[in-house]
Amino acid sequence: MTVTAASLPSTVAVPRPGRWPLVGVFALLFLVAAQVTAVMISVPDRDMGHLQKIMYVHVPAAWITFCAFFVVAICSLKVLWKGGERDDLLAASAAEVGAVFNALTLMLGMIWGKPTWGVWWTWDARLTSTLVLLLIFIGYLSLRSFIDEPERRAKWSAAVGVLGAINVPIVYLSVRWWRTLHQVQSAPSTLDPAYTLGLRLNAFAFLFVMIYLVRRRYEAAALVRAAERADESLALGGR
Amino acid sequence: MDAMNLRFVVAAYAVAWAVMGSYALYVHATLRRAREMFERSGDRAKGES
Repeated sequence: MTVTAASLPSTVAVPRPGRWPLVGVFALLFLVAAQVTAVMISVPDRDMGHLQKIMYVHVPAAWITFCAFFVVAICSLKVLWKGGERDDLLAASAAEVGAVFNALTLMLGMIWGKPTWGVWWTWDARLTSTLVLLLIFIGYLSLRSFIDEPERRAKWSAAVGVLGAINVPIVYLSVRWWRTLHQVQSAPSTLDPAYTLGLRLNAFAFLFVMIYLVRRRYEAAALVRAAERADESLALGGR
Repeated sequence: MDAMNLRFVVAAYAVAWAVMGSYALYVHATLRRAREMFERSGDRAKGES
């Protein structure tokens, strides 16, 4: 037996799946098509050879990390400004997805770094600031699991979310501020035109995957919150 | 050299798919559990009334 969203007392509307499963299928197919196209059409780089193909997963993963933490920053500011459960749950969902893409960026960077730099890891400004970003958002997610009271959790994690997101422009500009081992940003303007289509396609594919994952994670969080509120209300005698 | 480079490329794509795939599975499992929890709480509310 199921209940409708309206029958449960909650300040956050329970989202319905709607056409999101189809969005997921589209994102998956787009990702496969983008990766196959990029790998097939890109010629080996003069210096790096086939290693250049790692760019099509490493760079979009980094961009999507920034996008996810931008969502965290906007939603966290809204929570601090006027409160709101929806923004709190959306920020938490985006933070989790962002942390996954952040970790993926670091792993892919290490796999790319070993054959090109000769080391898996170095305390380069870009690498270190990206690691710090990941640690901040792991801290953000840990903080949320330590605080039980929803309102206090929302305010405290929003403050950490805003502070954490301030690190995003530092990570982005670190390759310009401190000229160390990592190359300058890979973007259509800094790339050979032969590689831009593949990079753009994969950036959009990763974006669709991120949007889908954030939405589904938000849906799960909103359902849990609605269930918790219903149980609380029941425990208080239906008030 | 090229064969060695290709191994790193394959490893990178394998890691990317493994991480995104496992996280997507985790999200779907979380969503399924959340839906069940929501339905159970609805049933309890109905039983009480």
